[in-house]
Amino acid sequence: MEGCSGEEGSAVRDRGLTLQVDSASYRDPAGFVFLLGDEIYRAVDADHWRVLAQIQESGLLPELIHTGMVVNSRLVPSDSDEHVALQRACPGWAHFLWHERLPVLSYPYEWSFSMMADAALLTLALQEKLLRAGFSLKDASAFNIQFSGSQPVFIDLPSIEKPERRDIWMAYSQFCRMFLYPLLLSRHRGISFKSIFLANLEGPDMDQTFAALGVWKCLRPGLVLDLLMPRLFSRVPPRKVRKMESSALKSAADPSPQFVNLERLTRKIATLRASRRSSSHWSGYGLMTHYSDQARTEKDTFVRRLLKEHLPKSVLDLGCNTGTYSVMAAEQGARVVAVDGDSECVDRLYAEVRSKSLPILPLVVDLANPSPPLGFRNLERKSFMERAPADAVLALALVHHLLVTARMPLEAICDLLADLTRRILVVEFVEREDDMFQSLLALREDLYRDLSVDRFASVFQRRFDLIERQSLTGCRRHLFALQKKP
Amino acid sequence: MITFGYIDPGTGGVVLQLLMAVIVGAVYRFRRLIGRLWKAVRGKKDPPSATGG
Repeated sequence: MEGCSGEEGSAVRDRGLTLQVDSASYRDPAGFVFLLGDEIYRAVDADHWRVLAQIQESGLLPELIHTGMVVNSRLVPSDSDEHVALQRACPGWAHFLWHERLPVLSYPYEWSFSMMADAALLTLALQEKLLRAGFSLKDASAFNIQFSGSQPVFIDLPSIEKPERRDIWMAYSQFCRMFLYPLLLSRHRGISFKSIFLANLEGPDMDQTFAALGVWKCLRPGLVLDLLMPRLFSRVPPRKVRKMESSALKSAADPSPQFVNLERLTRKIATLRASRRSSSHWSGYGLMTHYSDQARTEKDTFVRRLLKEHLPKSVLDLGCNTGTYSVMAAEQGARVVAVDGDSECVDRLYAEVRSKSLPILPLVVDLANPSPPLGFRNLERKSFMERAPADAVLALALVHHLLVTARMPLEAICDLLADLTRRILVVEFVEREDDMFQSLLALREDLYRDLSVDRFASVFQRRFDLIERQSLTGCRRHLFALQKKP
Repeated sequence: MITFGYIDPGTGGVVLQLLMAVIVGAVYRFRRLIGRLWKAVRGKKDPPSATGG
């Protein structure tokens, strides 16, 4: 099968439409994703097209899309003008899927604990539904799940196949590496998803998980089945495994054992989800009183008015904490990405936006060290800085943390915010004499002696024009609304 | 035959699931056997119905 008429990540012109192949979509030979104009399409080979057509005809695919388990997609009819245009753009490919474009992509190393658990539960629920209809997921990668707002959705339709046997799930080990082991390592050892997945995009293997958890922990009933036993059995030579599976061919068509396994895994993930830690140093930050009642009201009014006046379609809330201003932006109709370095804060916000179905995507990102480009040739996973820019950026009570905790110079912080802002920046400056600033300084009293609100204004003038500024009553904090310079 | 795709299914995971399949199969067969025995015992004990031949 020929490739598309553009190299991975490159763009070509085709009758006025720009075609761009997704640089992350090359591993599975069943097809690839590309952008044509503003629309997302996927070229699919004949075998997978047949499977997708069967799922469509059975009514399962429309049901999965309707319930939000699978990203909104449709099979492009072969007799349509759209199909003709697609074939012209991708010679050698005969079948195409259209996918709804998700505004911002996120990756497992940016998810909170509950987000990871929900992505795992979606994968299991999808596999269970597919198995009932005679299909199966051929892989269980966490990268096949995206979040549409706070709703996890499955995006990789060609991962669905007609399985050779239904009693076992070939993607079980991958499910453990991608979901179960990271959840266990986070829950029992406090290891962040970032340190897990940045070290290995395929997730931790059994040996790494075993070593990190320790022998005693692995002897717990919950871990014996999914870690200790597979680790012991992994020493069985492949020819013996083939012999075993050949002798068990009689039961291959019976899905009951797999249903038992899926149900067991679902219970385990749900229990882990319920056992997440519920507080951290910063998760109570929103309750701390850095503001008088009047100052709080002034700040809320300032931000709300700015959002109303400029009506940004997309908002990036940096250092969102409990997400007060993310919710405010979402209520004004913006699609919001809310970012914080504290996983517990993000987890709390995720619980809130899930319950209220708000268009907010909460992510765990350390702004002093945001997610880099990753994967083969550094092209598979885009950097946070590439994915995140928004019409309006909120950086409220953030700058002093970057200044002191991350030791970023003010000029560098200004450049960071300018890189992420398309139009409007609402930023809060906290004076050095503020209690929080002083507590962050701790014993480093000599730092930032020359820092002042005037210096802040002059530094930000390099990249932004001032729209308006306001000093909050009764505290040493100042709000700036800025327009990015062209 | 198992067709290994482009992901490694992991021999440990496959063996574990094959064992589970054997165990689950045995449990299901045992339950069916008990069910059949129970029915047979009940059938013998039940008196013939009034309309029965």
